[in-house]
Amino acid sequence: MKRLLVFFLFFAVLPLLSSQENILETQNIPVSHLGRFRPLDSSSRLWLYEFYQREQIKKEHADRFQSPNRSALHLLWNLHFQGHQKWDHSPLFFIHLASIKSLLGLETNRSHFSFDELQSALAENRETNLALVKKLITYEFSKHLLETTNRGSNQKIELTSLTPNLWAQIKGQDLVVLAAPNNPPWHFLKPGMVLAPDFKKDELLIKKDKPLIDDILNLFNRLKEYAAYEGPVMASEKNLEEALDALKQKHLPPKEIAQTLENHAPLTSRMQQPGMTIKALPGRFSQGDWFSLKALKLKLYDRETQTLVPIRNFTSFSDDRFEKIQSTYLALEEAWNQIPRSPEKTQNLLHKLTDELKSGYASLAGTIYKEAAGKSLSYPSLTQIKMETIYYQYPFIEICIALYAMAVCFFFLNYKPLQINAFFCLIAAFLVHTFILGMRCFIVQRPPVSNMFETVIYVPWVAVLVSFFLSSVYKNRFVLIASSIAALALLILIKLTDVNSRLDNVQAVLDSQYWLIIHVLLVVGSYGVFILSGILAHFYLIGLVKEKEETPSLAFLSKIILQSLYLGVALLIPGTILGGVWAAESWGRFWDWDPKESWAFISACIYLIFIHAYTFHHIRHFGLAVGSITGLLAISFTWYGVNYILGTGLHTYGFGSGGEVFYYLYFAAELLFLFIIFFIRFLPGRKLVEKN
Amino acid sequence: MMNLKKAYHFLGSIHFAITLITSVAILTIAGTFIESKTNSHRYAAALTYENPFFIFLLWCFFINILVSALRRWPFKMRHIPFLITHTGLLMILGGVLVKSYFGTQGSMAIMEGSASHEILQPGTYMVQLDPFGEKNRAHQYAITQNFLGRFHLKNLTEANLKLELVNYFPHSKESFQTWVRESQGFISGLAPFPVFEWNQNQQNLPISMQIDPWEVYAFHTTDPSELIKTAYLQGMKIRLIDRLTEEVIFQGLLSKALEESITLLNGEAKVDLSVNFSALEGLVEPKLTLSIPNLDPIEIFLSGTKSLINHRQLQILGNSPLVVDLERTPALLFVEDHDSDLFLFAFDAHGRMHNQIFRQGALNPIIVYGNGFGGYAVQTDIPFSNQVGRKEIETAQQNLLVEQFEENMDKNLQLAAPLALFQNACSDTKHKFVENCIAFLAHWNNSSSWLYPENLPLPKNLENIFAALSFSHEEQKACHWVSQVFQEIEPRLKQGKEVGVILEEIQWPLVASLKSIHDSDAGSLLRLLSQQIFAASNLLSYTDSDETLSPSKKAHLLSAYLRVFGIHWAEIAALPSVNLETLTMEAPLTSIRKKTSPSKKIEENLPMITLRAYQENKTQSFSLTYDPFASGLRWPILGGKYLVRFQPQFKKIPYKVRLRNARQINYANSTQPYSFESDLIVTDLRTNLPVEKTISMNQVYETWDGYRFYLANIAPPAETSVRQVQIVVNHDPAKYWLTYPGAIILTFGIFLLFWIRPYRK
Repeated sequence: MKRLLVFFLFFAVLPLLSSQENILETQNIPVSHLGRFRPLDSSSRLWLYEFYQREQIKKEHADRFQSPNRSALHLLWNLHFQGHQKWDHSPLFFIHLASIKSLLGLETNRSHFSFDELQSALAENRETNLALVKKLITYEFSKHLLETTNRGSNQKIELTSLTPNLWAQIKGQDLVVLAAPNNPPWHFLKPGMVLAPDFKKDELLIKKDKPLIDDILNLFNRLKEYAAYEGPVMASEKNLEEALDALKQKHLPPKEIAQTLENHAPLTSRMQQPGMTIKALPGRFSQGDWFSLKALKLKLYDRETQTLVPIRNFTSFSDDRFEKIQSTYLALEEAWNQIPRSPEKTQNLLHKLTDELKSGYASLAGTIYKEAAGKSLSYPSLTQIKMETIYYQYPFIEICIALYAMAVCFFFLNYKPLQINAFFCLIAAFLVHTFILGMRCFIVQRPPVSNMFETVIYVPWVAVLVSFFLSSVYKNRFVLIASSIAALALLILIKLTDVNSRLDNVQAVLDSQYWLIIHVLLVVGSYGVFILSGILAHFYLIGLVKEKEETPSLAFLSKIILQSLYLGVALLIPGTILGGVWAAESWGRFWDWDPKESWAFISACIYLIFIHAYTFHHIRHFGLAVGSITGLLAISFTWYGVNYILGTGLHTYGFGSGGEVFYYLYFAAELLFLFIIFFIRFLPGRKLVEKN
Repeated sequence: MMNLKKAYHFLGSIHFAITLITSVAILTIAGTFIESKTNSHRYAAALTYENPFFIFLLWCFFINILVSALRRWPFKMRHIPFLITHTGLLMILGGVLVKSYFGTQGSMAIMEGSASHEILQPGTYMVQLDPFGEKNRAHQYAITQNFLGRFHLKNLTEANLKLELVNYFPHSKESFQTWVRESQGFISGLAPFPVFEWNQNQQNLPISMQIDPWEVYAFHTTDPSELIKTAYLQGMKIRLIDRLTEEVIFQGLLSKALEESITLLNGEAKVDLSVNFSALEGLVEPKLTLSIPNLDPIEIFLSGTKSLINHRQLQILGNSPLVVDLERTPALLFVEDHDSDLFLFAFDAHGRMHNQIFRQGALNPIIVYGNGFGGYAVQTDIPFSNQVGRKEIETAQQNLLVEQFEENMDKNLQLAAPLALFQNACSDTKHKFVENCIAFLAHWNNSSSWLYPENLPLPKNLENIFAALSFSHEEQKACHWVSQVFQEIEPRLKQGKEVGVILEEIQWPLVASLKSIHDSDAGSLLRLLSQQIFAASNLLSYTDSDETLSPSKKAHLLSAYLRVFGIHWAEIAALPSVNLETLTMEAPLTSIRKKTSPSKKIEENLPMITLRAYQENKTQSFSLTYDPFASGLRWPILGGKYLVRFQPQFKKIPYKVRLRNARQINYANSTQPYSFESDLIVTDLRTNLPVEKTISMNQVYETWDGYRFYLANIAPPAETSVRQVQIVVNHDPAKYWLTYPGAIILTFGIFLLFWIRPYRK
């Protein structure tokens, strides 16, 4: 009874953990963001994350953002209506790498910087600008040299990936600028300027510098986007008015004026100009093209009245609804910029706008908006939209971690009544865990294994699932402890590292439901089983050292290790071979020794060696446990190392960088563990005895 | 016998199996790390997965599994899972082997709209020899490596020509040579000429060759822009001429004038030559500037449509009183920089410049030359004229104006008042109106003042006409006042003052209304001013003097009248199109191959081979560089009888694939691709039946006899240009009866092995 109370209490507290919003009204407006249709609340969180590396403004920054409401949604609406100027001093821009900060002459002990600080370091200060730009160009140039076959050693290369008209060349020993455009941040470059003295192309340097360069380019993009956020006065519309005045002075006929204005500032490009946030309006002419609410403010030249009139219905909504939305939006903008702002009025208008947009979307939900050969994309249903909001609003993974942690603690406190508590915690954790995976599946309509983040969630889930199965067959709590440790460790790991956790579209290569389910679910599932068996092997070896001889319970544990290895191999080998079949079906070859394939093969080989040796009595339980740990090392490399350390091959969709140090530490610790165990095992006079 | 049995048991033993699995795993681990370090899959594969030792291990594996199964003979129930698992494994191994010997694997690159029935097999080598003029009769020689690492040539087709592989080098660099090859220059049809090395201090340049009237210079250098200037100045003369009297004021070498400046009656004139050259864009607005004391500077462009025309800063006042002309012996200059990029310049007799760039990798157009087939050439067309100089252009300009005016006269348009006045005078004195009118405008223009100077004598014809010209009282009064005001303004204009400033200086009452018109240039401001004066003149007093006006004075007043109407040479004259001649030259295109140290990334290496061809009594040795996409030039051998290329092997397939359309579909409002698709028409060449299919990633087209077409790559991603699609073609005869069933059997076997009673541990 007490236990149940604890749980009820926990879930009762849950909603309080989420932040309070006063514009929550708008959270479920469907908008187009990063290639998907998401609720406005989630989009604003992702949007803030891009800039700020957090889904919410930090408490200590609240006053510098001039608002007690620290939600992303609030800041987005503010920037949307008021433009960026008011926040130019707020520390919005997150910079992770100390090397960028030192290049830009910024304090290295801070991680958030304001637009003004960055603007002066990047566009006004010649020294810091050149330091950064030179690094960037040198990198891009080396990359070009490496990527293009048969380049002459002193080729002139136009670095179009950075900007057009930027040419560099190696002269003598140095890399120099040949020509450079005049716009920032390139405006300090002059032809003949030495970019890198004693230049050498170096593949390793390119690999090493990649994160730095990616971050710099990312920063450029963020600054550019931010600078495009405009307030109530839009530059494009002001220009249009001025152009119209000039044309009117020339007394041109209306037809000609209309034409000149359209050439001067085409409506389509004005509708898609940078800085247009909150894309909540479905376009009428091309399905899937959505436009920003700001587009409601655009003006068009009317030939009859010879004046600029507000844009007419360009959405797939009815004219009636469009007009309502437009007038509400314009009124809202005015109300928002009123000093002092009347919260009641804005609240009212927000409510009205949300209602119109949502009921407009209701008729679209579930319909197909893009068709391709043999597949199609459709708008998410309103339930999916709502679920996505919930998914982002509650810290499910943290809850999961807390529950697993509680389970592990209770398990280890070897006190009988607590064991049941531990079991309940584990069940609860597993339910939340299943809920996370289920939500992700439901929201994006595909199995949750198409990027690193999802596999790191999926693998411990498999481990826990299998542990339930094994523990019910063998009645052994160690399996449950092992699986909760695995889940705890992996979930903490994804919280510590900065893996992309967004609900994103799947890569085109992976977009094959059938094979994705069969191949990836099997192979990645096997990782979970192997991790479980690896942890059990640790228990076994530690137990063996502790007890100095194999007790019956250890022998029993070893039986579970063997079964889990069997299960893992039974998932890994068919999974890998079916991966070959998928490759034969979609890439045109069955097996090509691609690094991922190779490592799956190597892992399988290692497990097979130990299973064969065990089957033919060359090793016993000790050997099997060692095999399980060795195999786990191979599996960890297949999973992490191929993508993050080798970084070559066709399975590129999971590539990334970061966390190498942790991985090497883990690897070294594991080797040290094995070494100590071997030392104890084979130390003369201290023989550990296995029964068999 | 014992030994044999021992060996048999060893081959089927678990020890052997574990040894094999371990060695294969270790080799594979090494392979993945080598691949990561070198970034080269093929390099890693050559050392490991495709190494004969690795293949040998795989065969051992095969034997081990087979023997270990046979050792269990006679089979019992408990052997079933083992047998099933290992049969599955053998079937997969067998399937892979069958495919590598009997299957087809390759790729074809097709542009939108084109078709192909041949697939290239990347990483293979072949010499393709096409008899010139005969299609579809190519000879093919495969180049293969034996296990000792030696390369061999294998004749794949029948040919009446013997080819021998003399040399093979793993990597080379091919560059193209056109006008300059090492220390010799080439122009088709002419003897080769020497190419010199040039360094910065060398002022007198050696002439390589003389083709009347052209001098040919040719150099290697690191600093083309300095050399161009030096070459341009070779023997270049500058001449200063008085515009009205056509008297030569100064004549001398331009190079000297640049250094020392020119001494004129009223001071020192400075000459400045700006020749900016960039290896990317060529010459950037080359021009000559002359700064003269008490006069605004004159600019002369040296290339383009405006070339040679003297342009002064105050062109609204008419031509400058001084004219600059250039003269030299026409010259061609070939410059090769250290990137083997070649720049060709031509300087004609009047100092015009022209340039063309022949950069490595951007040579076009390439033409085929010779009777039959002799090879390739590059061509250049240089516009030039040694006859038409500045003076000729100006005459042409005047003629053009006369022509245009006469055309308009035919339309019976009403003439502007001052022109009508002039026309009346012409008809009174029986002179041709149009010609004389233009002649007057030209003469006025050459006087370099805002209004025609009162004291400047007129040519005979014009003097007669002006003598007969008569103004009405109002006209004369208005013109008089215009002239009066401009007498104040003109000297100030010549000092370079701005119109607005001048108007304030002379306290012009209507200055505010003129200033309110923004964005107006000096010319139109002055025109508006004269119109204001003209309109205001009836408020002013003027008494006709009794004596008749001199023709020059009348010309002066008429010019004021014309200014009111905005009629002046500078306002109406158009640039005539100058008929330039074209100098067309050709140079043979040859390629040079240099051995370079091979990269570890084998995919990037371009091997070079040297071959010797024998036919009847002819022999020829030649080298070729690998053309990995079989898309480059084919080189002629044996006097153009054959065209030859070193390329990957290709294989004909019984299907012709035509690409209709390729596209990338993105997710909504993003650049992330959702689907890559291509519309193909696949025609079975045996039945000629076309099938239309759309293939995409994960959606393959498979023909009834097992040919499969996969979409591998679309380039470029942009919607704007024609796309090229990489299609992988494969044919795996063993797939359905070895590989796939093997996979299923293996999976089934593993489950039996682990969890079925008799075998379970």
